[in-house]
Amino acid sequence: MTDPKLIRNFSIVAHIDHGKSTLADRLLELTKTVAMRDMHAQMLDDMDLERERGITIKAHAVTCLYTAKDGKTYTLNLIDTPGHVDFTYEVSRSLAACEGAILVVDSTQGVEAQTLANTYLALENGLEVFPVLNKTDLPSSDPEKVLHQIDTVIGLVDTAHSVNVSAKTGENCLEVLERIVECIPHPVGDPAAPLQALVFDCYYDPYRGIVSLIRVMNGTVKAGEQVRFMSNGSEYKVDEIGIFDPKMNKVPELSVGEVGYLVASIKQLVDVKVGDTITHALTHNTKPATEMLKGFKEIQPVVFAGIFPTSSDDFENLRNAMEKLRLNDSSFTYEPETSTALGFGFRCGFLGLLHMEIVQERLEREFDLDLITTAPSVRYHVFLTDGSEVIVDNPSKLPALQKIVRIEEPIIEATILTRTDFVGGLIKLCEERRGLQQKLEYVSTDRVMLVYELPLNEVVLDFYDKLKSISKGYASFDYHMKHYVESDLVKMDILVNGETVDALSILVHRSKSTTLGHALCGKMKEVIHQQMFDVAIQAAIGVKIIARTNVKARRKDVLAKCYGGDVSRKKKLLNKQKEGKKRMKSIGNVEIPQEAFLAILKVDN
Amino acid sequence: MSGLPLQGLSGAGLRNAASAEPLGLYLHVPFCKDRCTYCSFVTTRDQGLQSATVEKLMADLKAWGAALGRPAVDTLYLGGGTPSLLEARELADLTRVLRESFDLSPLEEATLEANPGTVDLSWLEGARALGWDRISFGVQTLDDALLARLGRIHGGAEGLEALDLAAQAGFARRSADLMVGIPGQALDRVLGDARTLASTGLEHMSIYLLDLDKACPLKAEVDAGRAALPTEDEVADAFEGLQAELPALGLEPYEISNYARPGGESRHNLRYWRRRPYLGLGPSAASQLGAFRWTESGVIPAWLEGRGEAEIQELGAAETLAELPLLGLRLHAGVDWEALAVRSDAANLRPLFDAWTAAMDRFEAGGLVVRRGPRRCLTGRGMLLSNGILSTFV
Repeated sequence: MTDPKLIRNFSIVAHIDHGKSTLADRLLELTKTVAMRDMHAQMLDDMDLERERGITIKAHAVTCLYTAKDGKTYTLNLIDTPGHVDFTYEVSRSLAACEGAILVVDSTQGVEAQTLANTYLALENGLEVFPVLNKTDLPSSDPEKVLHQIDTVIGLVDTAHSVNVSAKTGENCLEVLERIVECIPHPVGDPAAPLQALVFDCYYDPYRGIVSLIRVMNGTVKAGEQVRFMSNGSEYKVDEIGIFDPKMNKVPELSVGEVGYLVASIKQLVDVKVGDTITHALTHNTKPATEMLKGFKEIQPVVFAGIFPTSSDDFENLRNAMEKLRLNDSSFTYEPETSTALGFGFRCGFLGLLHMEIVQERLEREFDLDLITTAPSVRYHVFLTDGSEVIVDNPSKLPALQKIVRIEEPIIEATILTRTDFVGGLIKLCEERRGLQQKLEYVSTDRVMLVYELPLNEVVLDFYDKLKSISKGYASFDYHMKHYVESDLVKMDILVNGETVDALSILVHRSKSTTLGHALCGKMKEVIHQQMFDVAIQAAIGVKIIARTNVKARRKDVLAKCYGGDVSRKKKLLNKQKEGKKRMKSIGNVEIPQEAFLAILKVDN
Repeated sequence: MSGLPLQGLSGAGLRNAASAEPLGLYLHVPFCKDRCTYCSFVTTRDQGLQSATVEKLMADLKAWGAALGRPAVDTLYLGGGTPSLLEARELADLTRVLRESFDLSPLEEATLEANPGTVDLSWLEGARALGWDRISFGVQTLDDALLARLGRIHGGAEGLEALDLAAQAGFARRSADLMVGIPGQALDRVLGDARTLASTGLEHMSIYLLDLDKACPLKAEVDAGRAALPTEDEVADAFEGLQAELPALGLEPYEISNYARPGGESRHNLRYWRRRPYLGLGPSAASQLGAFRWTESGVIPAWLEGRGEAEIQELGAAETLAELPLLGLRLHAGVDWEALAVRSDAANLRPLFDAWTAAMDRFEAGGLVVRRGPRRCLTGRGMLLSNGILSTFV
C-alpha cells in the first residue's frame, strides 16, 4: 500500500469554459501521466458529447505520480466531476472522495453561480479549497479583482494560497502541483479497520462489465475477496482491482486513501449506486463494517418527459436503446407509456434539463433513432377528495378536476450571478416566472447575486435559454430543490381539429393560462405546416376553450409540368415529400412535426 | 432479330410486350436556340451536335426497331428541346427511318413540339406532308415582358402567328402551352391569354405551373430576391380561374394540366396516364415496356457516344399496381376502382388496395376526391393538391 501521507486526493471546481479540462490536461502532462504523443485536448472527457459541449457528464479518476520539491514522490488522484447543477449529488459524492479541491476561476470573467454552488459543496464536504486564477495570459485578465470577488462572495476559501496560471500556455502550472502537495491534507484512515470504500461513480465497460470507481476510506480491498454493497446488502466476488493511470491498470489491492476501480460480477448498472459503501462480506477472515459512509442518497429524477419514436415501428428499437443507455446512465428512469397521439413510448425521468437533453441526444446519436420528446414536466403532489395523495409527473394523467382538493408543486431556490446591467431584465424574467425574491446582493461593483424561489415547472420551460439571452450569456444559474407548496394549477389541453392531443397537455398556473394558451396556439400555428385540410388549434381548460387559431389548408401542391413520360422523376419527387412527412406524427388528418410537441418551450412566456 | 441496344434489359420480355399492343414512340431532340431561364430539361445550344444527334437517333430507331421485331406504333411524339429546329431534310430522314424500323400502320397521332420563334410556313408544310398531324407550341404567355423574363426567343404576337401558320400548313390539331406562376404575371393576364388562344380555334391547351425545383437562371434570380414568384394563393386562383374559364371556351379538362375540345385529347399523353407502353429515344428520354422502365442518359455527349448510363428499373407487382391510380388519378375520368380491386385480387395485393381505399375515403370526406359510378376522381381542389393524394401510391 501507498503511505497515505504521500497521497493527495483532489478535485477541480470550475464554471464551464473557465479552463478545468485544460488545466487537467496540463497536470497530466507535467506528471508524465500521459505521454505527449497520446495527449489530446480534454483528455478526461471521452464522450463525444462531452467534448462538443465542453462539459463533463461522467466522473473520471486519474492517478498521477509527482516528485515534489521536497524530493518525495506523491500519488495525486485527480477526480474530475461533472459540473452541472443536474448532477449535484454525483458531484457531492466525488468531492466526498477528496480532501481538497482546486477552485479554477477565469481571471477575465470572475465567479459564476456554478462555481459558487460547487465550491460550497466542497466546503460542506470539509475539503480544503485553494483558488487557481486562469487565463492570466489574456490582456483582460484581472486576478486581483477576481480574488477579491472570491473573498467577498465565498469568503471561506484560502485566497492567500492562490496561484495565477495560464492553463493554455502551461505557465505556472507546476506551481499548482506544488500547492496541491502543500495545501491539501493527506487522507487519514485505519488500514486495519473493516473495509469502507466510497463508490463515487460507476459505468458500463463492454469488456469488464460494471466498473465501480472507489475511494478507500478504511481497510483494504483485494481482488478475489467477497464484498458487500451496504445500501442493499448484495454481495459479489471482486474480479479485478486497479487504478487509472490513465488507462485501467490492475493492482493487487487498494488501501486507505487510494482511488481506483473495482470490478465484480455485477449484472446491471442499477445494482451499483453512487454514494454507496463497499465493505467486506462476512467470511472466515473478513468482516463487514457496521456503518455506511455518510451522505448516501437514492437519487430521484426531477424532470419528466415522454419520449416516443417518430415511427411506431421503432418502438422495440427504442426500448433496446433505453436498456443499453441505462447500462451507462442509471440515473435516468423510464417506463412504458401510451399516448393516444403518439402511440407507444416511454415516460422518462431525468436529473434535470441538461440531463434530459443529453439522454435524448445520445439516444438519437448512438442508436440512430428519430424521436419525439414531449414538453418537460415536474412531479406534482395531488391531493384527492378521498384523502389520498397521488404523484403526477405527466399532465395528461392528472385525475379529474372534481376529484382534486389541491395540487402542490416543487419550488427551487435559484442563485443567479450576473453583470449589473442585466439585473433588471433578469428580475423581470423571474417575476414573470412566478419567482419570489430572496436576496439581491452586490458581490462587487459590477456583479450582482440574485436569489429567487421559483416553481420548478416554470424553470423547466425554457427558463435557462431565456436567462442566457437576456444576459447575453453573462449570467450563471444554479439551483437546488427547496420544498413543495400548494399552487393554483390547471391542466391546459391542446385540441387539434377538435381532438385533445394528450402529449401536448401541460399544467400551468391559472393566472397565466390565457396568455400562455394564446401564445402556444400561435406557436403551434407557426410550426404546423399548411396541410390539405384546414387545421383548428385550440387551447382548453376543462371544456372551456381559452384560445384558438387556424392553419389554413394549402391551395396548391401539384406537379403540373410537361413530359409525362418521366414517371420515375415524378415518383422521386413524391417520395421526397413523403420522406419529409415520415418525421411527422399523424393525428387524424393532421401531420404534426416534432417541434410542435416542444412548442411550449418556444413561446414568450 | 438482333439483341437489345441497352444492356440490362430482358430481350424476350420486351419483345413480347412490344408485340402485345401498339407502342407510343417518343423522340427527344435536345437542342434549342437559346435556353429558357426556367428550363431544367436536357437541352443544348450547341447546334454543332445537331447532325450527330439526328444520326444517333436514326441509329437507335433502327436498332430498337430490329430488336423488337419492327413493332407497331400508334402514337408518335417528337419533343424537346426544340424539334422545330430540325432542318426539313433532317426531319424527312428521321421520319423515313421511323417508317422503315417501325410498323406505323395503326398510327393515330404524330405530334411535333415547336417553338413559335423557329417556324415558317414551308417548314410546317413540309412536316405536315411527312405525315406529322399534330403540333404543340410552347407559347407560355402572350405578354412580351414575361416572355423576355422567361428567356423565350419569341414575342406574344409570334405565338399567335405560329398557330395561324400551322393552321395554314394544314395542321388541324394544334395545341398551345400556357404557363402559370411567372414572376410578375397577373391573374387577368392568364385568363386573357387563355381566351385569346382559344379564339384561334386550337383544339388543345396545356396549363403548366412554373416550378423552380431545380437549378436554373430564374431560380437564381428568385433566390437572390431579384424576382418574386406569385404566392401560392395567386397561382391557385389562376389555376382555378382556368378550370372555370376553359370549359366555357370549349376546352374541357381531361388531365390535371390538359384541356381539349371533345376528341382533341393528346393520345400520346393519355398513354402515359393510362400506363400503356412507350419507347423513348434520345438523351433523358424515358421508356416503359413490359416490366421495365428506363431513362436514357441525360449527358448529351455520353449519349451520343453510346456510353451514357441509363437508369433501368424492373417493377414488381405491387409497384406496377400502384402506378395505375398514381397515374390514372391525374385524369379527369379517374380510375375504375372496381377494376382496380379485381386486379389487386389477381395480384394477391388486396391489403394494399384496402389501405388505398381507406385513404381515398378520407380524401373524399375532405372534398378532394369524388366517386362517379365505379370510378374515383379528383375534384378541382383535389387536382391542385394532388401530390398529397398521389403520394398514397408511392
